[in-house]
Amino acid sequence: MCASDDIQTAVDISEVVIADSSDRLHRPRVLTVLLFSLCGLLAVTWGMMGVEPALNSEIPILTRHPDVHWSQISVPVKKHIPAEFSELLQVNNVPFDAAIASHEIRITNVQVIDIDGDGKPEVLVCDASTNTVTAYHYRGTEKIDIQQQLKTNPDALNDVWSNGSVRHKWDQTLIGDKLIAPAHATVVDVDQDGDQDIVVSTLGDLMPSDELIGTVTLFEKVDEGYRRRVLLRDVRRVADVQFGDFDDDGDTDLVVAVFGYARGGVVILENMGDGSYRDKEIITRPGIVHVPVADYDNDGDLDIAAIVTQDEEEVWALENDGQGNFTPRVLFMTDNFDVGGGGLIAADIDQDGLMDLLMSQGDNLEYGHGWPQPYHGVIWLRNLGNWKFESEQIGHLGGAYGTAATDVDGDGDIDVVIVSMSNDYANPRNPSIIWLENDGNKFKRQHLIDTKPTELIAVGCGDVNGDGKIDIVAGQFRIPLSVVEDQPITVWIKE
Amino acid sequence: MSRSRFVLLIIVVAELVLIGMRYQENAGFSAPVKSRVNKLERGNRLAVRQMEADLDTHSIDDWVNLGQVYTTFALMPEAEYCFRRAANLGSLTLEQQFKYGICLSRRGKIEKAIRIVLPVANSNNELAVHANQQIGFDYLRLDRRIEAEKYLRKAGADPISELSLARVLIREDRVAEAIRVLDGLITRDPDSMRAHQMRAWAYETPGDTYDEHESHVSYDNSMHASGMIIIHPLSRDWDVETVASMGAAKHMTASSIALQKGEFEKAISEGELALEMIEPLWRPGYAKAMINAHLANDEPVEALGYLSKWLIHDGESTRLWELAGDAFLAMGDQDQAEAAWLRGTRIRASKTVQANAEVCRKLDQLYQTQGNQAQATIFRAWHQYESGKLQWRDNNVRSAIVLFTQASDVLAQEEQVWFYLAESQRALNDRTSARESYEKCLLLNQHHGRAIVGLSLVN
Repeated sequence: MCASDDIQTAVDISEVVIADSSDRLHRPRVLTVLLFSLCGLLAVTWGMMGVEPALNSEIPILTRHPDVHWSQISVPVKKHIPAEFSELLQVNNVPFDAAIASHEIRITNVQVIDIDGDGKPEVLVCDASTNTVTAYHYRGTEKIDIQQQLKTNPDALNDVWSNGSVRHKWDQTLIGDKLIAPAHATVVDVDQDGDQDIVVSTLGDLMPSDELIGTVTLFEKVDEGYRRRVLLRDVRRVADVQFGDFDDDGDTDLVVAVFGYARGGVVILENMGDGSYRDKEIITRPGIVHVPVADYDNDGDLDIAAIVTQDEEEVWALENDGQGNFTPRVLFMTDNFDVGGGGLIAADIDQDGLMDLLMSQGDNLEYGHGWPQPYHGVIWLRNLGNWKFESEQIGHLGGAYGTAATDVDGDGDIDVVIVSMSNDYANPRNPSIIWLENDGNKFKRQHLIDTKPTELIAVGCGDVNGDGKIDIVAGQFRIPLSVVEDQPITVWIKE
Repeated sequence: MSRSRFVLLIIVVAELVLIGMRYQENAGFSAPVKSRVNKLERGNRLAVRQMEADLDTHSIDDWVNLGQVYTTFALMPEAEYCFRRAANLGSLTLEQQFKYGICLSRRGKIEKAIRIVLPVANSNNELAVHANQQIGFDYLRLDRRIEAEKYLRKAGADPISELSLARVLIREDRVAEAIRVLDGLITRDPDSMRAHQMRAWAYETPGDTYDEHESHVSYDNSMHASGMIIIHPLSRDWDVETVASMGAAKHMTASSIALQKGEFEKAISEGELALEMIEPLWRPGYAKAMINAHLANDEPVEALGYLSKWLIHDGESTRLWELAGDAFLAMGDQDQAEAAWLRGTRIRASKTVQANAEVCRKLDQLYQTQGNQAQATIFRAWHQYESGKLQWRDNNVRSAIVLFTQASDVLAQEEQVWFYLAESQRALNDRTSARESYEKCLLLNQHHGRAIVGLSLVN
């Protein structure tokens, strides 16, 4: 019967035929081997049954481009409390700063832009936790004795570069404070006096609200700093302001993205020439995040594009007739209310002379804890001329938010950088910032820039350290319900 | 049998027994899940770990409950695993099946989610409406408009589905149908801001139904209505319930109940526990609860401590300054109370929108007690204006007119008072009065764009 036959077969196959001194086949030892193996197998099975299943998201793991490298540095952000507030809340001579608390991390916008006209760009930051707009000036590096520093400052390592002996120096200029939830700062010589003024879009509340709490505030550059003046109030939450001479009268008008919540719209602030502005609503749609201005139809005047979110999920164009009268057109719409439009920028991606648009999709903040969706990423709205735009998803990144267009790899074409606010960061290998490589206007490859810091909302590009290479700056906006490391502003210096 | 083989045999048998026990313990070959809770606040992390430890692997309910908690915290692979394990144990109830579908939908496995939810949608279960709505939404996410319409219609008289349906119909150039849906909604709920708003968009769509006047009427109506329905399916309410039942929220709920019962000490101690449980995070709502509890317990200094932390964490707000004024008044420091409330008048409240009216009312009272009638009169008028805006916002236009009129007697140099009075008068078709009010507004600010538009509409 069979048991012995089987054993015989096993022996034959394994050729483990051992003879003892009497030349008899030593089958029992084979049985021992088999029993031993079975023992092992069962032990492994038992062990495996105790191992928790590996449950990670199926997000493909990205790798870095072999020839494009950055060094990551963190910009030191100081706590800012206006003196007036400290005095107001001071109790029994206990210093206000004694209240042990830290700011929430809520950077809403970062840009690399020259605000003081010295030819060196600053990092301009809107911070909706300190309610400030601040310019950070990069001042190069200095050598330090890190061991000496650590004796007095345990956090000194946070400030030093990778070789452990060089510190990056920054100066900062406070443009304005007491701005409740500034969303964007627009640098423009609004009064045409030869210096750069700053127009700040203020939400009035970061959290969803349909109340009339937004403002547009002008910080007019004067000799002693900036003179502050509110240009628009009694509107819903304002997310963006852009500019242009829309009515061809020689002065600078403004266009305002009123995000609101369920109600919002696009408002023109017509410059009346005497420092005053007349407001005119030109479309009413909720959730207008950005209003990039460009001559989209190449007819010589400035048109406006607007991204509509909050369930509608559309991109509109407002075609200018040259006199400041606008005809609305829908360039893009999707029935997918869940795409979560995060922003819109104008850039001639294919460099054909027609201004294209890049729209990010990935805001899923309606859930306290979001999950990356297959449609999160970047949509390229390619301008084909005559107000025809073709849409194509060119990047995939869960929780995509800010987008920037720049030549990342220095090959002369326009690549795209994306940051993610709500990727699946429970898995530390998932990226928070990536770039899409333009290869003949195809974006088939996306490369990792970094996995940390996480929860990034805004990104800007420019030559921060003056070495002629394009660096990347990103701002963190910590989701209120998740625990991640704080790192408000991060610069990736191109090597 | 040799001794070694006998020993091995014993080991094999023992291993088989252990495997059997583990199989029994796991309710299958796969082990229970241990989730990636590293991103959760302390209280929720502990609560989830406790649920995992207490999991009865043979209980469908336990797997589903754990799956639902994971879904709330967007631990989606873990959640799907739980629902799969539950389904392997036996038949899921329709509610459990619906929850499984929600999990898959949020995970991005939309087509599979639809298949799972479909039996619920086709049942007589009370969740059928929500299931049809969910399937409609999932088809929208797949950009499959025809199927989406079918299920949104099946959801019936459900405002969220109807608004989504109206949007689809407008985009399909079936505007007349969309208007019928929206009119039905407005008949049932005249304060439905979104319905008025979408009706305005429907009438501005080029085609046979284009009607600029109707569009403007609906737009105007949307400006003084506050029914704020957005896409908010039932599952999001479940998220709120889940979070409220665990971790810090449990203590905060206990704190609120204690406060309502007048048990201030308990309100404070439960609140402190809640704050420990959200570490290392921060929540302004919790700070507000602590401030209220300390103020109720006559501990204004402690309240000010939390106000300081709130200010540092989140920045200023009208409500913050209102409560700071209350705390200073409780301490007998009228000057500081006045300063805090005055700061509150300089910014706009959002969530606690009545705070702007409240700081004005409190300043009015303070000045009255100080015998400063002139200032009291001014802030009474501001209180009337702010209260009028709240009435306007909530579609109580007649009450708003009364308050704006009273305010305008004192605040005759404030363009906004005249503007809102004019808007209210126009809403009630009092064109003559509206014209006068718009003109007064424009005298104060000739570039007030909305007043210019309003005036053109009554002329």
